[in-house]
Amino acid sequence: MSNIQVDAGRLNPKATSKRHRTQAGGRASLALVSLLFLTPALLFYGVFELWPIIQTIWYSLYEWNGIDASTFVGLQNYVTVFTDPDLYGSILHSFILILFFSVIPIALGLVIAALIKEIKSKTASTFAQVCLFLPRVIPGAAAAVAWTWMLADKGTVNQMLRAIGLGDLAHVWLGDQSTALAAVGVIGFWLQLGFCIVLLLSGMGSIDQSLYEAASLDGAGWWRQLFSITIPGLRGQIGVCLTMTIVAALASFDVVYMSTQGGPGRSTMVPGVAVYRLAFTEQSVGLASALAVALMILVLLVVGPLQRLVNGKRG
Amino acid sequence: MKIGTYMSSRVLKATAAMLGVACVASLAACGPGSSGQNTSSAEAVSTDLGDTKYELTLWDGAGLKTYDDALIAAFEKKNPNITIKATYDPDNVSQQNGPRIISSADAPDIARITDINSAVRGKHLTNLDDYSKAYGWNLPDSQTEVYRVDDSGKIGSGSLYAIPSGISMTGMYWNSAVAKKLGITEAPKTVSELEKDMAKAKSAGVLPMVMPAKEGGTSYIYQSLLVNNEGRDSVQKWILQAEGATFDTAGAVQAAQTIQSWQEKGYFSDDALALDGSTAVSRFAKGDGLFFPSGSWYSATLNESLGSDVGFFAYPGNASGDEASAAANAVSAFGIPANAKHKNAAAAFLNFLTTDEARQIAVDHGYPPIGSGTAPSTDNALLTQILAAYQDLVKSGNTTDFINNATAGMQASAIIPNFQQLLDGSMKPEAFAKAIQAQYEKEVK
Repeated sequence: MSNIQVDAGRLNPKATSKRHRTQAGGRASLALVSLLFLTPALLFYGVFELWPIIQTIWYSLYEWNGIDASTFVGLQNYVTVFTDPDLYGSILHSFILILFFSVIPIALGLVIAALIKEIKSKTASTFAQVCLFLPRVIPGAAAAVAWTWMLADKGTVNQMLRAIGLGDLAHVWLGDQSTALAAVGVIGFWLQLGFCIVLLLSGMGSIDQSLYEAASLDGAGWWRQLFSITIPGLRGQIGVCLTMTIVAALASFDVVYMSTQGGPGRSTMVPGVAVYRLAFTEQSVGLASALAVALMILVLLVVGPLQRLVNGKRG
Repeated sequence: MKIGTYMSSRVLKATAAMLGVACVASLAACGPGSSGQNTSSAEAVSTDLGDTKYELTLWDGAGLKTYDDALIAAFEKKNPNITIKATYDPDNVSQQNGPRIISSADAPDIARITDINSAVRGKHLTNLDDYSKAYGWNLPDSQTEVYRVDDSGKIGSGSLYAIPSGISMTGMYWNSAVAKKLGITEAPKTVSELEKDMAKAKSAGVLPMVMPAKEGGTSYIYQSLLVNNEGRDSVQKWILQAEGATFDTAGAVQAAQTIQSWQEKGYFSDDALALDGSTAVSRFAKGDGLFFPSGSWYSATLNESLGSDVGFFAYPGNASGDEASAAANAVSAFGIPANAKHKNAAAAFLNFLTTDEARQIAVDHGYPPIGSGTAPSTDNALLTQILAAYQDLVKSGNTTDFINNATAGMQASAIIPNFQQLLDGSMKPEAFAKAIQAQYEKEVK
């Protein structure tokens, strides 16, 4: 930290001329200079991140159509969020999506990454990585449209099922309340898997190879090595994967909006789509804000402890 | 590390203080959006614009660009001193942007009115009564009813706030070539005839009805059954949010039962719940399906693809002799925002919409025209059938607005999900009627 002090002193002519400053004074002016450097970034953060959040919290206390005069309603909007089955139902759906967006991609990603690592040919392993990472490059909205066709009555998925004699299982996947949420989840799984694999692979590279050698000498098999060496060694990467994918699940919007718009019925409604609909279609900005704030707090409640769990054990 | 901690705690404190001040400041001030202002200059109502040069702005949905551009070109030709600059928003967001656009300080002079309720309640629109008197506008009640608001803010009668550019109406397309193969030579004249024809199609392995339920397409045919059961006036009252109007009626439940029974009999495709409007029309255009309940907006597409094989008829009544019905409203309802700068010139454009020239332009673009006179001619044979059907409906007055428009959130939050649940059997007809009414009561206060 001392070099920062020197730099700051050099940049501030007054500080260099008055070398007899008390330490407290120097520290204060250093803080001031540092703050000055931080100001542009802080300003952006304040205007585009903090201020909208404050505004949303403020709006959530009002009944407001977004244009005309508003009425203060206190916490009434929050009461509605947690008593209206359509609204809290949407939150429950997003928790189910965690299974598809987060748990399955990470579990499968671990196995696939471990398998890719075994591939001896450099070309083949790169090819496999690129193939698996590709979905990540496609915008969620575009992926959702493509999957809508594939999951349709005469789409690719059903064609394949019929081709292998499983025609009885063919389904209008997005058009049935019992399968729609899972079908949306599959789209999310497809989008998140590549990200998890690439991140986990990079983590595996930094695990000491001698551990594997020692383990195999002791007679540990592939699965044993995965559970005893790879997974503990990837704690940090798994933490990042979990955080990113869980946030993607809880705050999902594009995939659902483009594939089902929350239907059939309300079977795939998620908070992201509900907030959009309340604010812009129903002109209930207050209620939409309350749902958004509730969602934000939920995301923090889920992701916060996760960070502690992952970082705490490492430190 | 010491300085780092020191810094971060300082920054934190500063930020916290800043936030705190901001919070208190905003909470202490009045609620959001209360500073409604009206910046327009008072302009005496006049139909005489003289030679003054006017530059007007117009706002509408992008899907109507060619139609509006044709109207504007014809209007500018007649009024060389007025030019109109039009801006268009994508159709899927115009509904959301509309309220903000007409209420902004630099609102356009002529704008599509997307939500008459909030527009009039917020005093964002110019009362057109004086212009109507000065120009002598004389449109059928059924075409202006939903753009009239009385002093208490109730829609349905009172002062006029918008003029439709043309009419969008629902109705049934049918494939007469497919029908002929089934031995059906005439369009059904009652609901039971319609059901008989569908049964015939089903047993012959032809899809009886193309039903796009992904985006709420079930509501058009349902609304006609509802009007048959409950009567035009009571449905229109509900749409106009009249005191005490309710959706939870025996007629609404019965109409829901009918729709559900069609689904149970297999009259719709298996993927109805995942079928969107554009896929549905392309299927019907390829010759799949006997009936396609939809609206006038597809006349050009279907005339082109099916030619003389496609026909159109208004939704039939329950018994023979009963009036047919349709949901009909403006293609675009043009109003003059309160903040518009050139209201007299804008009114001249609205007046132009009522002329025969504008009516011809409406038909040329595939829309039934406003007014009640003889329909202008068209070489689109399908549109000719639609125009004839609409002329009969103007005479009988048996049209309503769309139930989808009863409230801002009705379509997205009630019509689409509840019809889907009705079709897949997870909702009983009684619960369906109650659910629609529940959404209505959430929004109508």
